[in-house]
Amino acid sequence: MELILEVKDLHTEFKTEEGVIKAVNGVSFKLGKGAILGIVGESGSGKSVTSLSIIRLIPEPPGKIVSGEIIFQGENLVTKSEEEMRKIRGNRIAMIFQDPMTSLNPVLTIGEQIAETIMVHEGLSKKEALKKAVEMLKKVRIPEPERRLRDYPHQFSGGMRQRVMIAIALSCNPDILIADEPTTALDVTIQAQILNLMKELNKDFGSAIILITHSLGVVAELCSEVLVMYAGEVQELSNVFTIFKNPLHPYTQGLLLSLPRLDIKKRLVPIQGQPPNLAHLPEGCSFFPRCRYRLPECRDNKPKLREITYGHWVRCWWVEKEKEEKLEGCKSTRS
Amino acid sequence: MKAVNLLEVKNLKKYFTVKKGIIFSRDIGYIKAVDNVSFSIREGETLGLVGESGCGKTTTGRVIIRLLPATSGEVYFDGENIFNLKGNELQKLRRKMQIIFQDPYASLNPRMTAGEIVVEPLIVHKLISNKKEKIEKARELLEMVGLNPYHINCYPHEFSGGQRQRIGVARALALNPKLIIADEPVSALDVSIQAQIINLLQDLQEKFNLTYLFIAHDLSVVKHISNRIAVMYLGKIVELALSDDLYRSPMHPYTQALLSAIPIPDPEIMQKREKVILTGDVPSPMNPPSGCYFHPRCNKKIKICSEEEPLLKEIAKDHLVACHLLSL
Repeated sequence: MELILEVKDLHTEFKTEEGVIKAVNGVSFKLGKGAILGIVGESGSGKSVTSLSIIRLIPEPPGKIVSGEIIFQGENLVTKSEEEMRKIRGNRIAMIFQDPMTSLNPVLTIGEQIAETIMVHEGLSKKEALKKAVEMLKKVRIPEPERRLRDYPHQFSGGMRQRVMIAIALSCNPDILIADEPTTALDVTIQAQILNLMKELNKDFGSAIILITHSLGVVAELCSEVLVMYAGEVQELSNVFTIFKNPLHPYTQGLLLSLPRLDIKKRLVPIQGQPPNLAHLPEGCSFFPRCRYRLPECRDNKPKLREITYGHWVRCWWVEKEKEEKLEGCKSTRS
Repeated sequence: MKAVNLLEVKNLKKYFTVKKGIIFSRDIGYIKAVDNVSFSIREGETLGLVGESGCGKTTTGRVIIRLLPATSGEVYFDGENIFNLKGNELQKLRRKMQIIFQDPYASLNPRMTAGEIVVEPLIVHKLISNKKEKIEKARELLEMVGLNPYHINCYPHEFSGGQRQRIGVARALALNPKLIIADEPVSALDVSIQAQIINLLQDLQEKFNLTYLFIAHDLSVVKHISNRIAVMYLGKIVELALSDDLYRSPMHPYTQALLSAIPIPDPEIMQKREKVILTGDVPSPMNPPSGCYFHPRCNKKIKICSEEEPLLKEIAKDHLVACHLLSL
């Protein structure tokens, strides 16, 4: 698989009155061309900060990318100047946000907003750009695009606005589309429409997608690879089938067990306790205080992200130990 | 479960008038937020009310508990028409019906401690006055919802979202109510915390024989907790059935689409599943479509759908549907 993006040991911190908050704490992953990677996690897990770091939109100060590399087509984005980033942002890496209401400018027409991106990045005239805007609106299945071009955002419904956002994001045919909770503000029937659209556009345009979400259902529907985050760290990384069939990290297992499901009726098993305070993270494993399988070593030593089986990475002492025991079991039965 | 109806809602309507102008304002139309809704809840039962945003589910809850005046219709609680109650009688009724709100950040007074918040209902209803009793009761209530009693003097901002929602639950339970209207109690919470609150609500129901009207947009949560489910669309109930029946054999095209739109956290199922993707958006409740409100988005519509409004009819046992296709 050809790589388009590689994030290596990324650390992003925020300085606050409470102390330094390590929002992203050593995140590494690879994104293949045209792949759809899901980043799941609960609020405060660092999934949004990871994506904002990639596109270099971390407000600085108080935030800062402290260390790490973000390699996009052979270039390190972390060391790029703001000027250089502006050429990449919206052009080669585009982003859509959770709330389509606040991410569109209320005093510009939809057409102007789509055309703006095209004019800036592709150097077309306004007339040509507007023509392309019509085409983009057609691609995101907005009926009567010529007429809707002259409408303002408030004349669109939530789902339609998110379609416009997608049209803007894809108008320069980016290599990567980062979607930060794109359907969270939408109703389920509209969510289904948008997810379907994203799947089709991923095929047509070939843009890789990084989908940030808290919903495991959305991940199961759209993604090929999944990265589970907790307290700013990657806890588990694998392809979508493995992670749902054979989740290894106690946190991933906990998430799946605490979800009410339409197709199965059973009592929910919640994860005990509260999410950690990012300013005062536990010394060892960050999930230690809530973990069902915790071992004595988990308290003081941070586990590393290790490949347990091919392509399945987990950060957990318990999983490692289980695996060793299994291997030893095999050996002893053989001898 | 007894077969006694604790709550009976009959032809409930709530119209909001839409005004134009500031000084010489005039009415230019209505929004029919709740339009002729009828259902009943048995004692100890959980009725789920689902629908997308703007379908009137929250308004229904608020009208029932008289936080909003109804336009017309009747609501019977324990056989008594609550819209006729006034003063003292209304006060008494309020002890038996409580509400839990969606947003655990906005629904707690930031200037009161957790202890003060949970005993506030008892003070309002003059059931408690002495200080020692207050502290005792507050501790008991906090413990009941799984909070540590030493939190009694903490302020809401010191709690996490899940803990705040527990305070909201404790406040609702303070008066020993029979009916609790839970308006999206878990939708602002993370999944791992959501499960804690759902389990808490289920445990409390068993312990105190509570009756719930559980309002939510997330059908998987509603199906998990409810005995029966009512599906609303644009102010009307389109289907009402036992929750397993509704999931196994949804009859209204809207319910079918709604169910198929919910992502299941299992990629293998998701690949095999056939999806009904609705086109278009929910129409404006200001000028709803003619006939069946769902017909512009329905993939099975026939001629009569745009002409005549379908009525909610019992199609199978305990399974009510409002759709022309089923009553042909």
